Formats: sequence, structure tokens, C-alpha cells
Amino acid sequence: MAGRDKSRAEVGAEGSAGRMSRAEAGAKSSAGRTSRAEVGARGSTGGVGPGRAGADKGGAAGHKLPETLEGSILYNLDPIILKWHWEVDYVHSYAQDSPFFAGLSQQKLLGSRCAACGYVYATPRSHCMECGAPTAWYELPREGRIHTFTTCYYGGEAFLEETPFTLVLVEFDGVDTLFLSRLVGVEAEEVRIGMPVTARFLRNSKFRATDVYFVPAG
Amino acid sequence: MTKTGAFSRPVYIIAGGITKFAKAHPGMDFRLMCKEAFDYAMADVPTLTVDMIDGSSLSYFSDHFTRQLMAGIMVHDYLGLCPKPSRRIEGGGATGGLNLQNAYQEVASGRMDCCVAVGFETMSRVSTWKGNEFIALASDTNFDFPVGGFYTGYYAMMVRRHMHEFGTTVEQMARVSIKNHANALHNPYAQFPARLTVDDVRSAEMVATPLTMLDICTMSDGAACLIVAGEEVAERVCDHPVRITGIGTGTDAMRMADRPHGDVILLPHESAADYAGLRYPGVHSFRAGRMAAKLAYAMAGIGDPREEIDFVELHDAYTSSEIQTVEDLGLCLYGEGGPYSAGGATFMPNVDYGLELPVTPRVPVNPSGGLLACGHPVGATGLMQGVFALWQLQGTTAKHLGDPTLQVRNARRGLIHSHAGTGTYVTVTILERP
Repeated sequence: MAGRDKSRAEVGAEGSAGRMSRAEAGAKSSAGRTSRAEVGARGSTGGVGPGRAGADKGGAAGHKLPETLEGSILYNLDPIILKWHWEVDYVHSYAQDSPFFAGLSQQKLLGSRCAACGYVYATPRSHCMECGAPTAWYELPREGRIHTFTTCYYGGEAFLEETPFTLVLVEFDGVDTLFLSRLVGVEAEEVRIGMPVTARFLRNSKFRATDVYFVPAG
Repeated sequence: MTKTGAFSRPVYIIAGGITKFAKAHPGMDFRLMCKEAFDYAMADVPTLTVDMIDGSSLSYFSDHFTRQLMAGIMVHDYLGLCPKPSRRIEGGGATGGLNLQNAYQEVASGRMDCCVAVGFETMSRVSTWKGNEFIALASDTNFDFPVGGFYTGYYAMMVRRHMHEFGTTVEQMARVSIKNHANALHNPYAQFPARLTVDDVRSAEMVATPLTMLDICTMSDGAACLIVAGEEVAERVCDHPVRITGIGTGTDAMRMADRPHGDVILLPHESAADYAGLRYPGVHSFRAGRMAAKLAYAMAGIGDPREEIDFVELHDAYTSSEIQTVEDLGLCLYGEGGPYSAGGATFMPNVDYGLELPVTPRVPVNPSGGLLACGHPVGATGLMQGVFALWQLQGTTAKHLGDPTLQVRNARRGLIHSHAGTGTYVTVTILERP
């Protein structure tokens, strides 16, 4: 299947990107050393260290950090309140949950079933919460019913642009637990508990839980 | 088998202090807020000196909000408690409640004779919506955060199911909001006291159906402190120590979707026949809250909480949570939380709510104003409940609040309840006037 091949290719690409970034991390740490050296160099105005700078210029006045045009965004002076930026990229592995996300790219919704006690999970887990035994992957039906719902007009900052959106917990026949997803294609006031819904999948997977969503059945 | 704590030493709370809970305290960092709460508590037991304190238990919920790892030790050193033992306690919204129970254990075990429990949160350091995103990281980041990413959305789904199962209404929820905001008019520590009507609550901005802005607590900066001690220290330094007679903690799966649909965990005054056909807890009830109550009641020897508890400070992060929680605590049966909470039983007898209340006040719930009106600086919240409960049981509410209105008459036994993310960790602690 083309979709399958593509997703594999992307995973492969991502994997090698991961390796590259480790290489970069190595480069960065040596860059860190370089930049410390640079500070020393700039501070000494062409010399190789503060000692030399002192010798060149004479006296402690020669010791000087470089001035830059970077400043701080200040909100208040008493007390001093300023902006402090922070961001980070995580290297996140779905680990034992990975087949679920691979399944979404193949238009499959995978839950899990306990081989020992038969408990069936709509949201997969690789070990049974009831008895501790390993579970097996279990393809859920595409059709379910709304167990409960809400329409969010606000959200966490990362999701504010997507508001309003409707969240549903979906129940499936023969399945013991529920599945959290988004519902589209129905006005907020028309959503009802018990409403039959059908799973739909993004054509181009993002390997996120939002690759699957639900629409009213029929 | 139920553990009763029969082999532990008696443990008392001897003093408490809090900062005012506020949207922001830019003039105090977390260390100074904790110091303020600590100093207030120390001033209440003037013969207790710092050298009599054996260690501390520190709590804050979020490293993201704090942007400071190991903030616990920074509070501990700021209070002058180094090199004595200390540890940080964290468990989402229940962080404060877990902290108090940890301090209890330090003393009950004999490891310490006096332990200070201090907690704080500094939530003003990011925008409200970034804050909501941080809080939502306390949901499964593979399956839940990318889809919902919003705690109010999670609780909205839970109460929607509660409404479906039991017929709970948004007007009943609004009455909880009116009660708690009105109580807080008499509490100077509260962040958001207000006189409200049902219409005010329902016409406030919708956040996640059916929860409006006035169904939800705010984010806050604040700190709280409780000083916990064994019998000898308590008797020596405190005129009115309050004994911790029961602690209970319950848990449930992080993902709401994973909650089972089985049988109700029964309290001593309930029977299986009360719940024929009810699938429990589902997403409509908090099994962790019920488990915590069951354990705490067993330890404190409470057979019927409806008759044996004088007031409750519970975790009303949402109006709906109060309705769900009074059921978990057995103040009414599962399914009766809506009418029970709206009817008057949980209101204060001497506060004007502007409501017709058919039922006489019986067990005031959140006389302080709760999280809805006091605010919710997460790591401090469970301790804040302990501070207000201590003052109720000491009969010193008027002294500390500068207003006698919220003093529950003849309060002998109080219950405090702290709750984390969609009911994952819940603590119940029983406090008694000896």
C-alpha cells in the first residue's frame, strides 16, 4: 500500500534526522567551548586571554565583556518583572504504543485485548490494568456511540486556534473502556449522548492521536 | 483489609498560616510567600521555636509554572531549616493534601516530633492559556493532551455524563458557585469573593459546555503552611491543638477513558441495593474520592458521615466537582449530589445568598469559599483547606479572618478533601477537636 510505504519512509527519515541531531548535539557542545573561547578573545581585544589583555592595556580597566544590542523586555521596575523565553524540542517515542499510531496511518483504530482475562481496551495499553497480563492488539469497530461530550470555546494555548472544538468519549459494542476523540460535522447544540458516530482518518498521517476523529454515522 | 493506623502515634495540627491568594504576587517569590505563611503560623504558637522543628514537607505542583527545579529546598533553606530533613511532595491538584498526609506520617511514625508542611504555587508567571496548557500536561500526552489539551474540557465531559445519569442541572451547579463566592465575602484571604445569581453564572462566558467562567476556579499565586506535631510538643506549645484522626488516599487511572464501569465501593451506611443498575465510577464519579473517604472514615471510626461530620472543605475546582464529591464522601447517595448541593444542606446558616433554600443548613461545604472563590494555587490549596479547618475546630475563625460569620458553631469534626486531575489522586483527612 502506498500510504504504508510513505509512512515507513517518513519514519525512516525521522529516524535518521534523530541520528543527525545527536551529531549536532556533539557539534553544539564543542561550539559551546568555542563560544567561551570567543568571549575570552573578544574581551581581550585580539589577545588570547584576559592576562594578555591586562598586559596590553595595563590595569584592571582592560577586562571587559563585549557589549551587545540585546536587551530585556521589561514589564515593571519595582519589583523588576521581565520576559524570560524558553522553548524546547522533545524527542518523543510512542514506544510500546507505536502500533496504534502506525494503525491510524492505515485507517485502523487499534485497541487492545487482554489475552488472560479478556478485558478489551478502546484506548490501548500493552498490559492489562485488571490483571497485569500482556495484551494483544485488537481492531475496534469504526462505529461507536457518544458516551459523553463537550464543546470547548477555550483551550490550552497550543489549541486556542482550533476552538471551538467538540470532544467526545466514544463507547464501542463489546469494548470495556472508552476512546477520547474530536467530533466534527455537527453543530454543538445537536450533539447528544448515545449518538452513533463513525471514525474518519486523516489522509496524510501526522502520527498524532488527532489522526482519527469522529463524524455522525450514516 | 482496611488499615486503621492503630500503631501510629497521635498527631496534631498546632498552627497554620496562609498568604492572601491572588492573581499575582509580583512582590514576593515562592520563598517569601512560604515564609509569610510560615511566620504567621509560628506567631500563633509563640513558644514554638525553629529549633523544635525536626524537618519539613514541601509541596508544589508544577515545575513548568515555577521554572525552578528543586524549589522545595529553596523554601526549606529560606525558612532556616537546613540541615534538617525535608522532601518534596507532588501529586497534581492533590499536592497540598498529600503534603499534609506526608507530614502526618513523619510524626505518626516517630521520625519527627514536629514537621512543617509548606506548599505554594506561582501560576501568574505565564498567560492563563499557557497555564491551561501546562495543567493539561497532567493528562496522557500520547492519547489525551494532543486531542483535548484542556482540563475544563475533561471535567465538562464528566459532568455531562453525571447530568445524563442522574439528572443533575446547570442551575444546581450555579448554586454551588453562588454559595462559595458568597461565603468568601467574609474571608479576606479569598481571591474572588462575589455576590452572584444563577443568571450571572449561566450568562458568564462559556468555557467548555456546560461549564462557564463562573463554574471554574481561577489560577492563583499563594502559599500555605501547617505545623504538625506529636502529643508532647502539641501540649507544650499549643492551647487548642486539633488532632488528625483519619487519613485516606485513593487513586484512579490517568485516562478518563480507562475508568471501569463496575460496582460502587460502599461506605458503612450504604447498601448495594442503593445502587442497583448503576455502573461505577464511569466518568461521572470519582472512585479515588470514594476510596479516600472509605479509608479515612475507617481510621477515624466514622460510621455515618451524614451525622458525624460538622463541616467539609473540599476540592471544588469546578462547581460540578463539588456535586460529584459530596456523593463520593457519602454526604448523600450517588445521584443525589445535585439536589443535595442546591437545596441548602451545605450552605452556611448566617450568610445571605439571595436564594430560596428549602433545606436547613446541616453540613456546611466550603465555608471558606473553596477553590472557586479562594483561588487554587495548586501546591498550597490542600494546606489552605487544612488552615481553615484548623481555625474552625479551634473556634478561632473570627480572630484569623477578622469576621465571625464563617465560624461553624460547635465544630467538633471536620473533613478536608484534596483532588488531582480528573480524580487520579484524592486525599481525605479527618480533623477533630480533642
